[in-house]
Order: sequence, then C-alpha cells, then structure tokens
Amino acid sequence: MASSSSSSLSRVVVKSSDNNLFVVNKKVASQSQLLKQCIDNMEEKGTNDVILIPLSNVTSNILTLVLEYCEKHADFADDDNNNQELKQWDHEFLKKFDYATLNSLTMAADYMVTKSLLNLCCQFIADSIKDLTVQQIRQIFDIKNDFTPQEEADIKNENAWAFR
Amino acid sequence: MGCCGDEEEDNLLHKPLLTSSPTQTTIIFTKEATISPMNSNFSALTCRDILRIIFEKLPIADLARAACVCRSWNSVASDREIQAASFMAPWKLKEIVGNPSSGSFWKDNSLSKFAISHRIVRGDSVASLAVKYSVQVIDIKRLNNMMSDHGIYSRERLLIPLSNPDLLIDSTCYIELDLYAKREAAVLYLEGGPPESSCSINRATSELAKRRVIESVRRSLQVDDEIARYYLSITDGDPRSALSEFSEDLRWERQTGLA
Repeated sequence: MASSSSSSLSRVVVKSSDNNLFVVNKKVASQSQLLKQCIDNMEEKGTNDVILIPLSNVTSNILTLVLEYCEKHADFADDDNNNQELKQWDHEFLKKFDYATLNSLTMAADYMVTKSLLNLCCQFIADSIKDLTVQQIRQIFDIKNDFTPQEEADIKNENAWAFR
Repeated sequence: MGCCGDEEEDNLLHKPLLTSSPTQTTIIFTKEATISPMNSNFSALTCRDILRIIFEKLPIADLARAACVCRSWNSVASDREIQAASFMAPWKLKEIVGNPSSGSFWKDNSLSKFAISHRIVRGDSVASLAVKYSVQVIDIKRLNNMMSDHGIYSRERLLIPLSNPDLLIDSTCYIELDLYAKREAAVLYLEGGPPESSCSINRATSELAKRRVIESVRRSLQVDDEIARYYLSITDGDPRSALSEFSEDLRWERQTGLA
C-alpha cells in the first residue's frame, strides 16, 4: 500500500498558526482531507520540493493533538472501522481534555476536515449536553441567553414536555 | 466547572501539555505554547455546521431543551432534518418521508408512533391480521379507532401496531394522517412503498378523503360512482357545488321534458 514512487514524497511539513513546524508522514496527513487535498494538488504539479502546509487557524498544542489522533487512525486505516481497540482509544483520547481544549480541537477538526475526529468531538459534546438543564448548558458553555423574555416564555412553553 | 472565561483559561494553563510527542511526528521547533484568548469560550457551539452535527446526536428531549438555550441553537434545533434525525435514531430508521401537520409530531418517538400499513384483501379479518402480525386484536382496534369488528372492508387499509422494532432498521417510514384511525403515524409499508409510488402524506390523505367524498355524494344523489365522480370533477371536488350542479341539471332535464 505504501506509495514509494520516486516523484511523490513520503512526508510533508505542516506549520501551525504560532509558526511551529511538524513533519508528518503522508499517510498520517491524509487523515485530514484538507492536508490530503494540498498534497494531491502539489503532487499534480509534479513538485519535488518538500511540501509546506501553513495552517493559520490551528495552534501548535492543538495541532499536536490532531496529529496524534491522525497517527493512531492511520495505523488502523486498513482495518475495518469497528475496531474495538480503536474505539477504546478514541474514548480515552477525548476524556483527558477540558472544555476549552475540546472546543479548539473541534474547531480544528472542522477546519482540517478530519471528519471522524469532528464526529468524535461532537458525540462527546452531545453526551455532555444530555440531561443538563438549559441553565446549566448556558453556564458550562458560556452561552448568552439572547431571547426576549416573551420569546423565551413561548419557546419554553412549546417545549414544556421536555422539562418533565 | 468554569462558567466564566477567566476560570477556564486558568484551567488550561495548569493542565500539563502533552508529555509524549507522537513517534512518527517530530516537532522541529517549539516555542512556549500559547493559549489564544479565543479558546476561553466555546466558539464551536456558535458554528451552525458543528451544532448540526452535535444536535443530530441528541435524543429528542435533549434536543427540545437545546432549542431553549439561545436563538442560534433554537434555529438549528428546530430544523426539520435535525428533528427527523433525532426521531429516527433510536430505531435506526433509514429515512422518514413527509412532513407532519404540526411540529409536535416529533416529540414522541415511542414505538406506538409507528404502524405497519396493511392493505385489506378479501378474507382478511381483524383476528386473522392479529395472528399474521402477532399482535393483539384489541391493539389493532384501538389503533384504528374501530368500534366493532365489522366494516373493515369499507377501509382500504388498516394500521397494524408494530410489535417487532427490528422491522424499522434501515427502513423508510411515511408520515401519514390516517382519517379512519384519526391519528398521524409513521407508517411502514412492508411490501414496497405506499400505493401508486406516491410518498407524500398529502397524497395519501387526499386519496382517502376523495373516496369518502365520492361515497357521500353518490349516496346523496342516489347515483352511481361514475356520475358522482363526474360532478365532483367539474366542480373541482367541492361536494356542495357538485350537488347544486347536479340538481341544476336535473331541473334542466325536467324542463326540457327529457325526464
């Protein structure tokens, strides 16, 4: 499977928004559709230079995490998606982050088009929202209530069944 | 849990940064990692696309509460697709076709909201259907709003309670307002799709409604189906004007001495 044709490079360099450079195995980078697209475009042009991909939206601490995820998933890329070990790893992976990190990771996964990571983050957030009250959700995620009192009363009334 | 920005930033500062760097990924040049102030609030939750992905994973009651959080959450959570996805998720439905008469349809996705459509054929009885679908006679009657065992032939179909949720896996359901049963249900067709490949609720309902109108016009005019259908067609399906049209014609026939 490993592509070792002379024209294509096996590694690319990714630059974070705070100007740190990461050397990334191409198979790992391909987990991100954004990086994969960049690599494919460059290869089409037949460049022999090292490919440098600057990511203006992702800081190095977040990029490290995204790449850690991509690396693990690249290892399992040829397996079927239902690998239990990988699922367990995914679960443990997200558990260690606070909400601020989780937020940045979600944004980065969206920006870098790493769908499975985005899905994983969103599932995690959905699980944390479950069973919370509206007030708790606003507090935990620092969301401003921008309803007028009348609007809020109407909407609460409409969804009253969900409050038991 | 930190509810204001400052606290969250503190948390992050005290949190050890990743200790072991991934094996294949080498960091050439590292500065002290900076935490951007943007990270202090949950910006991902203001992004519609991301919210959609999150909301698609919420059970319906949680989705309803999410709709009460703020305006942008409300607008994403009220989206038909999101509500349908959350409605279908526990049953692993593939698709739900049609729109309910009111948004409150989505609030209850218990098994009783689903029904199998059984097209009545000769020889069917409530009892035989109960055996065929392994459900109780009383449940069929209740679902179809039946007072007695008689008169199932005046109906085109009966709704059968769903006893085996596995039937829903990967299936397509049609939101239909059944006039006889007097209820709106997510209807499953075991043999192919709904009749005449029509899939919208409006079509299915109007089909039933039309039959009832023809029936009543036929009875009040004391004519056959054909004539009832003709008068309905020239009056755009309005039974009242069909009646007056018909009596007009009768009077004319009488006047000209044809009758």
